[in-house]
Amino acid sequence: MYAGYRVDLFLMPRIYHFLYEEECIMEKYIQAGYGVVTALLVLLISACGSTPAAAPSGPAIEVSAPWVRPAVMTGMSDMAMEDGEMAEGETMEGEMAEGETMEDMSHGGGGNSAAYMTLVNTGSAADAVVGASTDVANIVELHTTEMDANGVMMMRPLEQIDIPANGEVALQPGGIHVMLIDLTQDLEEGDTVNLTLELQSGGTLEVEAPVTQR
Amino acid sequence: METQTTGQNLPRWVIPLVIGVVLLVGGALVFNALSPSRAEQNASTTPGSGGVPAYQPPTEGTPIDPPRAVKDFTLTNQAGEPMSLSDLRGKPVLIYFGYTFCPDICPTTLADMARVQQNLGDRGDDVAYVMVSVDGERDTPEVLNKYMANFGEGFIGLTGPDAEIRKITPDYGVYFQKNEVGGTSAAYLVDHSAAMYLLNAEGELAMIYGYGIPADVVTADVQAMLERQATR
Ligand SMILES: [Cu+2]
Repeated sequence: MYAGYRVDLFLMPRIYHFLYEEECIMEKYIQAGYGVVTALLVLLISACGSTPAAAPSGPAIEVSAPWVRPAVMTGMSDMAMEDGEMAEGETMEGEMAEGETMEDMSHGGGGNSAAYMTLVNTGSAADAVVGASTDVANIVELHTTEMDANGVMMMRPLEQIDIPANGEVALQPGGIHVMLIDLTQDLEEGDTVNLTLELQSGGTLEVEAPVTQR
Repeated sequence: METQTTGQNLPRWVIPLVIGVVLLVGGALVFNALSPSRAEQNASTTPGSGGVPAYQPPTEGTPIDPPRAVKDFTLTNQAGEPMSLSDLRGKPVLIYFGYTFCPDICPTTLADMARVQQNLGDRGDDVAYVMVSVDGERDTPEVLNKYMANFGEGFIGLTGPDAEIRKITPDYGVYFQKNEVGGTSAAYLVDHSAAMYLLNAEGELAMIYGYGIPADVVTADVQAMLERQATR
């Protein structure tokens, strides 16, 4: 071993010297011991610092296997701004039968979809997706779906999607997704969706996601 | 004195060497411990490792034996016409309670229903495929019309006022709750049970399938139900 060779060179003259000394004090050996130890530690640390396989410093995000769920514009508008238009306790029966609420509510084509992928961080620092945008939807949000023990599903917005250093995070049905709200076009199998992800580290990632039914 | 000198001479140079080797090996071990192995990295980033145990999809349905009668109901279908559960009598019914704003669990389940329909081939039309909306406010018949057509031919979307839906759901053990949630442009989200249900041709609840049930499992159950029906 490389380190062992250096150690012997360092150690041998001292050993030789000590062997021929009559009244050796223990302190001397201890001092010599510390010397050896210090040298070894210096060697060890310098060896670690120059490890050729070291990961790049900072985050390095790659996207693998992105896809988007097929979806249609349903004409539904689901923006929070419509909230006020609905008076509390207003009967929905009348609206339902006539379906007249949509005309004045609709902003885009309505309907929504979700984008999935695996985000891989080959870097030595954590990063996060903090936002996203696309041409095919007016609103893009980061969401997660959780299932409780009773099989009740809950969708909740996320502030960011964390990607640990030297780790990965899977965006998949029933879990984290990039939600595409208020579609501007139908998404059919074979289409491609261009998605821009904003990273906490400052950069952006361009993702080309095929529309597929999984 | 002899024992002392030999005892002193040999170990004297050995001691620093031993200390050095121990520290070298120890240092290497510490270095290894600080740089996690590939396996550990993978384990720590497996989805669902956020402290919450990952949901385990079922491998088979839960039979209701004997099948249990459920109340008839009348809602509005995607054509804007009234439709009752009893209108579907004579066919097994796969029924799901969801909402179209749900981008994830609901379309996955409806896509699985569509797979069952495809798996059944010629007999695909001998089964009714229904989604009852738990979001009557946003899921108008027009919305449902466009949404359901995205999945399978003849898929039925039913909608109605909250109060009507609440009369239906207890028979299935379905929970749903609107929530106004911050951090989203959506006015509200709906938490809801994600199971799929199989009613027999008599309109009785026969099977419950948790989310993520393989379509092939459902197909086999429906096929068996269709065959039992034929020999009756
Ligand atoms: Cu979502």
